Parts: sequence; structure tokens; C-alpha cells
Amino acid sequence: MRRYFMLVFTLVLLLLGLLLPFIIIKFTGKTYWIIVFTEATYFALFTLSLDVFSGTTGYLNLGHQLFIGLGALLSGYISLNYGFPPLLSVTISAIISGIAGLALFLPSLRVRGFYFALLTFFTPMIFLYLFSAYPLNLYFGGEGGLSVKHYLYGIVPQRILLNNIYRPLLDYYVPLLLLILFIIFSYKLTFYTSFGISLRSIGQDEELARASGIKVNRIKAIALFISAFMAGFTGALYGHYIGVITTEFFSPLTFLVPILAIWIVGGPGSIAGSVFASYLLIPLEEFLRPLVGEYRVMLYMAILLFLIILKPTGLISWLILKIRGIKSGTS
Amino acid sequence: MLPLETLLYIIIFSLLSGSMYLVYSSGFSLLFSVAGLPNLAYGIFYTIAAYGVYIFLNSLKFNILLSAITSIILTIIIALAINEVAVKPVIKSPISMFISTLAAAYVIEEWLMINYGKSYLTLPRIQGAFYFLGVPIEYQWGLTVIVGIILMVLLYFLIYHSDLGLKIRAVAESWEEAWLIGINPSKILMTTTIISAIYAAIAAITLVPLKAISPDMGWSLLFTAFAIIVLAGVGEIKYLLASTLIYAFSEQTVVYIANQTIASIVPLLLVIIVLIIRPAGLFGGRSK
Amino acid sequence: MTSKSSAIIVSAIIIIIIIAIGAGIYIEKSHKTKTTTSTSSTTSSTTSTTTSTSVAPSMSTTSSMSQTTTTTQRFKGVVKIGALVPLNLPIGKLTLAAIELAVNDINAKGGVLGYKVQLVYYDTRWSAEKAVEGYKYLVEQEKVVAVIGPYATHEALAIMNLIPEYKVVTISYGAVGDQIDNMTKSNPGLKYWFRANVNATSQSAATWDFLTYLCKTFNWKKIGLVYENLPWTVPSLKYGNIRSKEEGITVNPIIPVSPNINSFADVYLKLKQTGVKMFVYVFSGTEDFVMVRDFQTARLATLPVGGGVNIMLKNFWNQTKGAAQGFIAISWGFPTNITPFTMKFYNEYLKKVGIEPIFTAYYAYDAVLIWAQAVEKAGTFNSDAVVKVLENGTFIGVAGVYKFTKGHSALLGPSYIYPVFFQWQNGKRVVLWPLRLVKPGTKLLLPEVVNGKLMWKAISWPPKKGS
Repeated sequence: MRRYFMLVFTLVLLLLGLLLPFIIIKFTGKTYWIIVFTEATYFALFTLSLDVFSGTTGYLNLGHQLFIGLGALLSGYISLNYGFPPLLSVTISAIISGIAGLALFLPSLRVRGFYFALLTFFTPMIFLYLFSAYPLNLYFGGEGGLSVKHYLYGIVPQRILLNNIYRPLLDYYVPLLLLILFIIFSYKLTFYTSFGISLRSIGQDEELARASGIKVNRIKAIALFISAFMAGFTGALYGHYIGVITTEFFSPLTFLVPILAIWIVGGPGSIAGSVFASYLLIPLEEFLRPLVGEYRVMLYMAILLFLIILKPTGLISWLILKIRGIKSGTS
Repeated sequence: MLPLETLLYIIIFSLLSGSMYLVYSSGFSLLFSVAGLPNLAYGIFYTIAAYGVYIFLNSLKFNILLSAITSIILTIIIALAINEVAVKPVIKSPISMFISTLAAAYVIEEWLMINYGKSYLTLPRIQGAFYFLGVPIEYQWGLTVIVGIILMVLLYFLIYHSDLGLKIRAVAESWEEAWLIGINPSKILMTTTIISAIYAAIAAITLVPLKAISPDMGWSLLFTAFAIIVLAGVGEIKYLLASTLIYAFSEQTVVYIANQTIASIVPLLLVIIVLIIRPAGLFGGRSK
Repeated sequence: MTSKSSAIIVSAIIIIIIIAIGAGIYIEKSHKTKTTTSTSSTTSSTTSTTTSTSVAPSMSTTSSMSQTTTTTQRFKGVVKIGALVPLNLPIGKLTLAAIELAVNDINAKGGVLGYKVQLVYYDTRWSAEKAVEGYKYLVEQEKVVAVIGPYATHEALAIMNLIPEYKVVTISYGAVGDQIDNMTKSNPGLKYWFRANVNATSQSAATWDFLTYLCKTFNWKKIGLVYENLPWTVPSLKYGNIRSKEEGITVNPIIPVSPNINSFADVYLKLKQTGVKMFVYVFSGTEDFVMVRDFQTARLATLPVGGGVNIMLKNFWNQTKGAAQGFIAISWGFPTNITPFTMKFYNEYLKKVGIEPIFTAYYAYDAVLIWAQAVEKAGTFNSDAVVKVLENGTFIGVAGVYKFTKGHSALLGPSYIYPVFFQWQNGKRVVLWPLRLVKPGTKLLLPEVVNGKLMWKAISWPPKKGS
């Protein structure tokens, strides 16, 4: 049942996502909204990369922006200073992010649950202070940040990259493709492999999992590596997509808060929830813009608060469960 | 070898900034230890109190004492409202509380930003300074030391030598077990919210005159308070003073030997190292 | 299993590519059908009046006609301009007020080319990605003919590759990065980009002109530097490093501070231990409050010169209860007769906002006015024509006289855009620099420590040559 439902869901998402630019153009006639949904796609990816580790094992990672920032800043630095094509530098920095994830994993051998959350909360702050202060900020672009080339620079002709219609489309479809692949990958990983089963059993009861012969540490390390790698990869891609990478990437406000908001509204551990929540919350903020003017952020936060207290364990995953319950009842 | 003067500065300013941190982390530690995860709206309590004093003083022309008192009452009301809206419904899922309190804080911060965010504002302070062995100390800052000690002592007696404190500790220990022995946890939560709101307001009234008011000023303070509490061990209110002094001393030493940039990193490194080596905090687990 | 999943991946990629191409063709088609009337007029870059009249009706129809009927009677139509402002910062709010003021002033004088100017702003939250979104929003959704902003350098860099495609005149009021000059010079597609402020190097150069003058006058060889350790101060540090060597001035100690500083005791102790006669400060947050608070008690005979966002404002004196005495601060735009319009703007702004205009407010006001003047001169809203006027013309604003460099920054110079240095003296801001604005009988206060007390010794300014 779950398998069938999720397949249908993924297909619907695929279709909706793919046809979104058509719908946007049909109803608004402006490519502006494609950008908004591009951002939503990136945030869905960020949230999913958080979910791979935190949603399954129950270890709350409050420093996810560290991997995103590391991926983006290192990729920018490598591509600018060593002349690597962006896509290569993105991959390299994603691997470095993954290794950083492993390094962060080491303390988690000792530090359990709540303290792991605290640890991950404080660690990115050091990076934020270090990277934005002199002399390190010299290497990362100073006040303007690193201006980097588009991630498809050298692969796709410059003519298309400078085109005002094709570039947004390209920018939209590349992360969407990544998102679809990642959704398939996560579902496979968490639900259909012995690895995923072990991972979730850690989330249920770590001691029990250890006792039943699961190599808990190795499983956690791999999961954290995947999480950090994906975050680094997506972060670097995002940086190259924006074109400017600043040390603000490490700031909790830039990524951590929106990601956590999406994650919670979507429901921790729910892949579909994260994706839907991202497609709900990111455009919502833009949608409010012409309506309420300067009260936009205030209203947005109030709505967010409302969504969370409506269902603290995840509004959207709850809704999905509801719909599924009805479906399984009728069929 | 450091010059004697520098050494003197390090010691005195460790104490001074330590007391500053103590003033605003004590209320937060109370809130933190009971609810289990930080109520991030604590930073906004502080900001509200500061703006409250400013508004009562300048727009309503209250005198300083009256505006301080009304501001404390205002802070309590808003703190209780936040408690009802953003804390109670999500008390079972701490990570949701992380975002819900943050969102609540942002609603208020944005409102302040829209209405008072055009420039930094200031509160009146006790003018002048005295010299202690040649080291200048602002009167206002000297007052902070006294306030910090009073707040800490009061908190200590409240937590460890009062009926209410016993209940608070019981709720902090386990929400369900507190129910079983006849304590209403949400009532206790409300009481601690009121106390911590008063603490935040007093902190704002003592500390804000030293600097300026801006809508986002609560966050950096909250972050420092958070680090100090983690350093002591969550729920270890007894050791808050020691942890504050360690934090301030490590910071100030680096400030004078190197500079403030490095000094903002070193205490954080300390917190991280402590978290790895002794996850429950420097003094964690001792009071049990 | 693996072959199956790889087949899925490959087919997904192929499907996406096909759909993407389809979407592109679809959008191009829909764009063409919608803009057939206006493309012919926008592509022809002639400055004939027929162009403007053919563009104008399409603009007034696309813009929402929620305007009252009285305005449409007086004006030929409505034309929209956009603003990118970071409203999460005080500076953004103050700037937006200035832009609104400028738009009101223009409309009060009958608009631009007979059209009423309507302002649409977008809150960028000081982030690059929002700046990109905002730029798209303003140009595509709101169909603006000019954009004022963005504020920060990284925001500006992020929108750079949209500019050649959109061909909309974009005038920033705060982006200082030098690299933008080089980009504009080398890429003709970026000719639509301007900034109504000088670049980072020019900013530092102007500061160092005054610092060098002071050092030469009093024969100081060594100065201290206290700076906020954030990315934005990097250009001024780099420039200062080079310039100080040229001028033979040693900069030591160099003290970085963090924005949430609580005490300046360490800074003043370090300055005292090195015994410098002057220190330079560079801040953007609340540091200046703490700086003047602790200076009173530091017993330090060191002249503070520099820039901060609060210290240059009028009510700083009252806020600090006079502790600002003797501090010299930079101000880009100042309530004095920089140009004949400065004081008028200053008073209007003060009346409307209740707070003095800060530097970006002057620039943003000027950015709007410059655009309006250029449009009037060009006789059309056509970007290419407006750019041509902007590139060659000289404009009198409220912050100074504007002439654009090859890199499309405002030109630095005593008769163009130039900062004012003033000293806080008994509640008044006394202008010390540039010398052409110095009033006769001006005094400079120098700090002295007499019997453990800070005193200010007044000497006449500008100092007579030879003395």
C-alpha cells in the first residue's frame, strides 16, 4: 500500500513540478514565479538532506547550514582560484562537506540526543565568525562575497545561460531533477534496504539496535555523510545558481530557520511532507508580498506559528496520513 | 609576560562582563531548565522590556521608576501570551517549540522594527564612573554586578530552598511524574514564565542603558546565555555563576591578549569541547 | 534492479530536457504574442518622441489602474519605478523614506514627461537571492522603467547578469564594491547599471585625504585603527594598507572589534599602551555608543576620527548625554550647503521622517532625481537613451554634483561627491573638511589629559600654513 501510494505521489509531484512553468506562464505570464519555485525546490532539497539523517535516526541536527555553507563557499573558492569548472568544484566541495559531516559525527559517538543538537547548534557559529572576520574574509570575497559562475558554465552554451527565458527554466529543472532523483534515492534507502531498516531502528531505540547486532556507529556515520554530502552539493549548486556566495550562508537565519520550519511543518521523517511544505512555505512568503507590504514577514511568521501549533508533529505528514487512511479504507 | 595593568583589566572586566552575562542568563536558565528546550522568545522579552521603558518614558512621559514597573508588567503579559500561543501547544515536541517560539519572537520583532526600527534608541543611565586601581568602571555597570548577585541569590533560594523550586525541579525532571505527584506542570510553566519575564525585564533595565536599543538586540544575548547554560549543564542553576565566570574569563583573557574577533570564538570552542568531553556540562550530573 | 533504476534516471533526464525545451518555446511564444506592440518600439533605440508615446500607452494599461481619476486627469499616465531596499535594516527604512520623498517631489512638479511616477518597492532582506527575485519581480511583474538599488555589494553582484537582458536603468545607492566598476567597464551590456555613490576605493581615498592632512598638520607618524571585523570593512583595510605606506604613516595598533561589543576598555588600553595621537574607527552597528561612553573615562589623549552609523546623526549628542564631545566623524551628505538643494531636502526629510537623512538617503533621493532629470533630457523612457544622457551629463543632487565615471560610479572630488568631516563640539557638528565648507572662526578640539582628566584644547582651524 505504502509502496503504491508513494509511487503515485512521486509521479504526481513529477508531473506537477515539470508542468509548473507552463502553468505559471499560462496564469501569470511572468517568469518571476519560476524563480520562486526554484528556491522552493532548493529548500526541499536542503530539507530532505537534513531529513536523511535527523528524520530517521532522531538525532536533531541544528547545524545543517554548516554543510550548505561549506559546500557553497569552498566550491566558490575552488572554482575561482583553481579554475575548475563549477560542476567539478561543486562535487569536490560536496565531498569535503561530507567529510565535515563525518568529523561532526565523531563527537556524536559520545554525545547523545539532546546534546548532539546543542553541539551542532554551536559549531556553525564558529565558522560564521571565522569566515566573516579578517583575514579569512579576504579569501572569501570580502564585502561582495564570491561572485561565481553558473554551475553549468562550460557545459551549456553561454548564449543560453544569458538568455532570460532559458536560464530560469534551466535553473528550475536542474534542481527539480535532483529532487526527483533524491526522493527516489531516499525512499529506496530508508524503506527498501537493510541499511534503511537499521537506520530507522536506531531512531526507535539505539540500545536495542546495538544489542540486535546492528553496527550503529557505522550506520550513523554513513547517514551523516550522505546528509552532509547532499547538503554540500545542493548548497554549492545554490551558490552557483545565485552567483554570489557570502559568509551569510553560515548564518542560522539564512538557511537553518527556513529549513527547520519546512521540516517541522512537513513532519520530521516524512519525505513527501518536506517537499510539500517547501512548496507551500517558500511561495507563501512571496505571495504575501503585494498584499500586506511591510507587514509581510510579520504575517508570514504568524502563519508559520499557526501551522506549527495546529499540528506540532508535522501538519503535512499528518494530512498525508489522513488522505492515505481514507484511501486504504475505500479500496 | 603581561603588563600588570593588562592583568588587572582582565580580572576586573571578567567580573564585570560576567555579571552582565549573569543578569540575562539567569532568567533564561530558569525557563530553559523547566521546558527542556530553549524558549527562544526569551530574547524578545528582553527587547520588549527595553522598548517598553523607552515608550513609557518618552511617549507617555512616565518617570523612570513607573516606566520600569509598567514595562515589567508589559513584559509579563506578552511573555504569558507567548507561553499560551507558542509554548504550551508544542510542549510535547521540543523541536517544534524551537521554531514556534522563534516565529513568535519574530512577529514581535518585526512589529517593533516597523514602528521603531528607523534608528537606535537609548535609555537614560547613571552617568559617570569611578576608578578601581586605575581601571574605569561605569556606575551603571557597577550596578549590574549588584543586580546580578541579587538575581542569582534569589534564583538560588527560589529553586533550591522553596516549595515552588521543588515543584519546578520536579517538572524539569519529568513532566508526567510531576502530574502523578499532584503538580500541575502547566501552572508551573506559567509561573516560571512570569519569573523569567521579570528577570528579562530587570536585565533589560540594567543593561540596555549601557548600549542602545534595536529590535534584534535580543538574539546575540540569547546566544551567549545559551552557551553559558550549556557550559554549566542544562538545569544546573546552582553552577550558573561559576560557568558565567569561566566563560567571561576565557573571553576577556583572549580580548586583552589577542582581540575581540578571536575572543568571540574561544568561549564557543570551550563550549563545544565541554559538550564533547562532558556532554552534560562542566558541572552536569553533580547535583543528582 | 540497478539497470531498472538507471533506466528510470536516464528516462527522467530525457523527459525533463524535452519538457524544458518545450517550456522555453512556449514562454517565448507567449512573450512574443503579448509584446508584439511594444517590442518594435523598445528595440529601436532612437530617441524620437514617437517611441515614447508608443511605449507609454502600453505601460499605463499594464499598470494597475487603481489610481484615482484626478491623477489621470492631470497626468498623461502612470509610469512605475522600482526600489530594492533591505527593510530588515534601519538603513533600508530610512532609504525607502527618501525614495518616497523623491517620488512625491517629482510628482508635485508634474511628474516625468507628464507621467505620474509610481513607486514599487521590494524588500531584499539584505540577501543576494532575494535581490535577484526582487529585480525579476520589479521588471517582469511590475514592468518598472527604472530600478533604484540594491543596497549591498553582494546584492548588486547577484543581479549583474540580469541587467544586460532586462535593459532597465538601475541606479544603486549603497553598493560600493570596486569589482562592479571593472565589470561595467569591460561589459557593454552592463551600461544600464549606475550608482549614485562613490566606490569603496574612493570612499577610503576621501577618508585618507583627511587623515593625511591631519597627520601632516600635526606631524603624527603613527595612528591606530579600530574596525568592525566584518566583510564590508575589507576594502577600506586593503586601501588603508597601501595608502598608509605611500604617505609614510604607520598604522599600529590595528584592533578588530565585534559588532556586539560591550566595552571599549581593551581598545583604549591598547591605544594607550602604544601612545598614538589619533585613531580611526569604522563601525556599522551600535559600537559608537559604547565607544563614546568609554572614551570619557579612558583618560586617553588620542583624537578619534572615523565613521559610524549613529555618531553622524544629530540626536547622537543627546542620546549619549554629550559624551560625543571631540569625536570627528565622516558624513556623506550633511546638512550644510553642499549644493543649493541640500538643505531643502534635509528639512523636508526631517519633517517627514522625524530622523535625519543618512548617507544612503541622500544617494537614493539623488538616484531618483538623476533618473528623472535624465529622462526629461532624453525626452523618452527608453533605457538606451537615458543611459546616454546619464553617461555624459552632470547632475546636481543633494549629496553633491554627479558625474559618472567609466565604471558608472559617482565621481569623487571636492566639487563632485565628497564626504564632510565634522567634529562634535558642545552639541554642534562643526564642519572641518572639506576646507571649502569650513566656516570662518572654526576651532578644532584636541584631547589632552591634565591631572588624570580629559580636556579639550581648542586650536583654530584650518591651521595657518607654516605654523
